[in-house]
Amino acid sequence: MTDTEKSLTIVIVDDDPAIRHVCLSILQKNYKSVFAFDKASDALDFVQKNPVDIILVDLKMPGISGHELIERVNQLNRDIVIVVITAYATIENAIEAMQKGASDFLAKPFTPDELRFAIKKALDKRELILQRARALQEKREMEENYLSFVSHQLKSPLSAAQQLLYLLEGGNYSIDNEAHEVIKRAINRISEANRLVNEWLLVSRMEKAGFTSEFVETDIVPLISYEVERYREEINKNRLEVITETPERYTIKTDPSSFSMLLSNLISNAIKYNKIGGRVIIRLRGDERFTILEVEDTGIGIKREYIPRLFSKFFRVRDEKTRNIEGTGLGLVIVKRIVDEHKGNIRVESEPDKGTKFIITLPKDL
Amino acid sequence: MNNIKILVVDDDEDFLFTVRTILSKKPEYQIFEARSGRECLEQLTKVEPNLILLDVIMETDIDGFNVAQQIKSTDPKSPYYKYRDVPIIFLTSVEQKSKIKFADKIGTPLMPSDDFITKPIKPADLLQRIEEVLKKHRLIN
Repeated sequence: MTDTEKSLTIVIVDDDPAIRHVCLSILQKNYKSVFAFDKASDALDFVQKNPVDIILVDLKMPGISGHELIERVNQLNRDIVIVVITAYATIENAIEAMQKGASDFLAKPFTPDELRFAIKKALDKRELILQRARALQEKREMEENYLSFVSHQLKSPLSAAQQLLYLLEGGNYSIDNEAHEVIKRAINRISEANRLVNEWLLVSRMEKAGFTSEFVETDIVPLISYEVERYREEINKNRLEVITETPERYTIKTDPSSFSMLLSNLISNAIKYNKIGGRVIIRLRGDERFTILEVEDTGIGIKREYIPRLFSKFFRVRDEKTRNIEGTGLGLVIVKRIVDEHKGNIRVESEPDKGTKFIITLPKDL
Repeated sequence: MNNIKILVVDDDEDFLFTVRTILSKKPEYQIFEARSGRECLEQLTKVEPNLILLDVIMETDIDGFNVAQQIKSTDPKSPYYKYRDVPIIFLTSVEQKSKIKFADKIGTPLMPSDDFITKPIKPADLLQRIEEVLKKHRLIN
């Protein structure tokens, strides 16, 4: 018998003092921690407070029954191996106990060898369960490492390469216009890759842990103008008119950085999928119960059949009009996730060639 | 002041090269380099820089946050106490989500720096941000 086996904790629950005595005297020879209880409630209390490997349960007990105990233990910790001991070893009883999570059945009266054999089987089962848990844990860790692997191994060189190109572009080297154009194109593609890596990481992180947002009362009006200003270059380049219809101040409970990200994604879409000389209209209003945010553009619009797929990962409308528009297919996934975090909802109204409107409704009391 | 000592701390050799190249265009800047948090603290007492550009996430010993906290310590017993007013600009490559949080927290114990720059940065922007911080600290006019 190995040391790990010796250090296992075994619990016996039976209202019959003779059975408790027999089990204890047989098992204590081989195992250090063997505990016996006459009431299911005491055993449950013990399981809640201590690590337990195996439980022997009598089915017929006053108070909490064996069946109920099995169910409760299973809810607490699925890794505990449960063995039923009973004088009423009927098939029906066995099936019910197994369905509730017991893994074996020992009929009373049993010989010491039968008990030892049942415990041995339970231990094997327990070892398998633990191995499986370890394997799952390793898999989880590998996935997490994979994320940080991607983050560092891909992000650092991409960022460094972009940095070097910036240096080439703006570092007073003698470069003719043609070469400038080449550099500019290379920079665009690398920043696209950078953005993709960042957004992919963000979405995977959100899926794994959700946002770790702290919601605080925030005036979101300045966030809107801040995000609009960030896109000033593109706005001017495409001669867009940005109209914001908002109150002077408007506070909601939110996480400012997530909310900025939501705004940023919607505003950048309204710019990217617009037409030269088009308009972007951002409206913010609220009543007692809801905050309503609309981001509308006068751009190329979205065909009806694509609308249901807009919030799916990596989905992008691919046609003549969108061919040259960069995007990761994750922006709206992130937006939807943030809206969900606010227990709100998002709607899309769109007409091809006329424009698109995203309408977000957030409840005031979260 | 016509000789400004700038200490650049980053574990990425290419980034150091870029910053070195950009800053060398300005004769008034004297550039010193460190490749880890520990090296930064060593250089700090040796070089006594006027400004530190500090990478936040370094794979070597101590990270930028920790280094900045040590430098900005207001405990008179801290070995770096006399350098607590040396301006620090953080260099980060974090995604946008944390960016605004950073901005909110500048100058607080959570963000013990005077400014932060998101990598990659255009040469002109880098020079401008450095100039702004130097002006704020009256190191240049």
